[in-house]
Amino acid sequence: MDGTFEEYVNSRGTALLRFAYVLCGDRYLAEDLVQEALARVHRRWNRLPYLEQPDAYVRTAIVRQYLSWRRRRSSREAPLAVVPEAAAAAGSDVAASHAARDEMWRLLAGLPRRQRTVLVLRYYQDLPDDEIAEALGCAPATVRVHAARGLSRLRVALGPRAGTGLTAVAEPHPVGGES
Amino acid sequence: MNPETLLGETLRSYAAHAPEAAGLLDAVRDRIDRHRRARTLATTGVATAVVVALVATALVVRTPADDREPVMPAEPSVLAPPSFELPTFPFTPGWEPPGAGEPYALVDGPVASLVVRHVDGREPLVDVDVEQPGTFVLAERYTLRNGGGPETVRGHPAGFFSIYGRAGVHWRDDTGRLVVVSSARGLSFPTLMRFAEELQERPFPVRSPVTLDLVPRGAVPVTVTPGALTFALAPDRSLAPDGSPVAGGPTLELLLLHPDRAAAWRRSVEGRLHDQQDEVRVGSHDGLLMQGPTGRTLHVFLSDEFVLHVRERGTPVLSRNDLLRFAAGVRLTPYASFTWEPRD
Repeated sequence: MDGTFEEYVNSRGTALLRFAYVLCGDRYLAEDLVQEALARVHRRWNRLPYLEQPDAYVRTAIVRQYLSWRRRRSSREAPLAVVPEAAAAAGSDVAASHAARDEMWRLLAGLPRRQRTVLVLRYYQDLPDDEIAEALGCAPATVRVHAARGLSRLRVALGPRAGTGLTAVAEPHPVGGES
Repeated sequence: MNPETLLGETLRSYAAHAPEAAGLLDAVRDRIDRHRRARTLATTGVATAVVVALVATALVVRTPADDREPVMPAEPSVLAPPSFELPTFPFTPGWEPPGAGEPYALVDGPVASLVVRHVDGREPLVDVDVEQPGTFVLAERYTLRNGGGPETVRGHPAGFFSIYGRAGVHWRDDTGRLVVVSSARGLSFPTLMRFAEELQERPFPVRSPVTLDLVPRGAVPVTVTPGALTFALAPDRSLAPDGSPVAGGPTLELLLLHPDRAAAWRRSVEGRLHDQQDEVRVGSHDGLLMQGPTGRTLHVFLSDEFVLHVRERGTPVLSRNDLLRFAAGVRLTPYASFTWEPRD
């Protein structure tokens, strides 16, 4: 294996795994995504046109690998509604802050993968929309649409509780019926 | 705090829970070697197949019957051709909201579900779940409270919920079953209620992801989804009266996994669930039989896309030979799709 590639994996492995993990939310899948992306990148390591910035190349490989995974609708998938009530009991600011982040993490898991990917690239990697578009292979306008829809869903779900650390519970339908 | 700020903080906070990078380089090297071997095999595969076929033909032609390997006496087998019937979903859609695609049904223990796909192929348009009386899977899943308001659906007092982008209506029918009609695609309550009202009391078939040549005698399917098929092997010990699997009862679980996912699972349980593994031949496929104190798991490498994951839970019912024969008779149907999550 090429020495430069080894150095790259050793120096950037942690960052890549962290990125993959927040992207997919699954530790095992994160490992798989990173390993697969690096194995594929290795084949063309010496020919990479972007060797001066391999992170961008590898990140794109991880993103595309993630988006290409086919996922069936599983009866075992955690539905969006399940949030432990314990979070609501958090008393201190620190606990409330943790609870709010836990809630946000669960909401992220319910987003469509492209929306989640855009939000992770924008708010974790701090990438501009044109670089996100390049990673996803779409137009910057499409990135903005995914971001807006993803954020909108998060805002709706968090509602007035956004940032308070309170856990959402089932809301009765306005026409009544919930007793 | 606005959602954007909270989102950034959440992602940075959760990133600390990512897997450690120790061993990453070795894992990447393994994968590179695997890719290399796969490319080599692909290149030489056709030629090898031709040579093997020719040699095999020659051997068959030239080997006198007396020289053949003695046939081992058959072990007592618990396998028999399948005689069970697949469960069905109790309703058939009678009306299609705009955007409705092909529906499919699945059963997971006490809950049967009908999923109406959206024509865009993304998140389904409508889900209908029916749960037998006495269990509380749906109440927990959707954080339902009691229904019983002034609105009715199909003549029953209805409850409504709207949470995290999913809206739904629920009721209990005369037999005590809980029925939930919901959507995460923005369908209005009137639309959901119309869909519920138009449901026909006609069974909708649950399609199996696989066909089977042989099954353990008495096996009853308790979970049938596009990526999973689970049998209770001793219904008196494996099933509760409501049809849900009993923890610890002997079951046989078949899952369809992506090869990378299957490899990740094997790594995650190595030394914990399995301390021994043997390469085996399963019909015309390669397999890996893993054994340990908690039981056996067989992985059959069906194709580049699917690994068949066969896991025994509870007291083993199948002999090793039966397990391999059972797995050799598993064939994918057009309804097969892979699932992500093998449980330990």
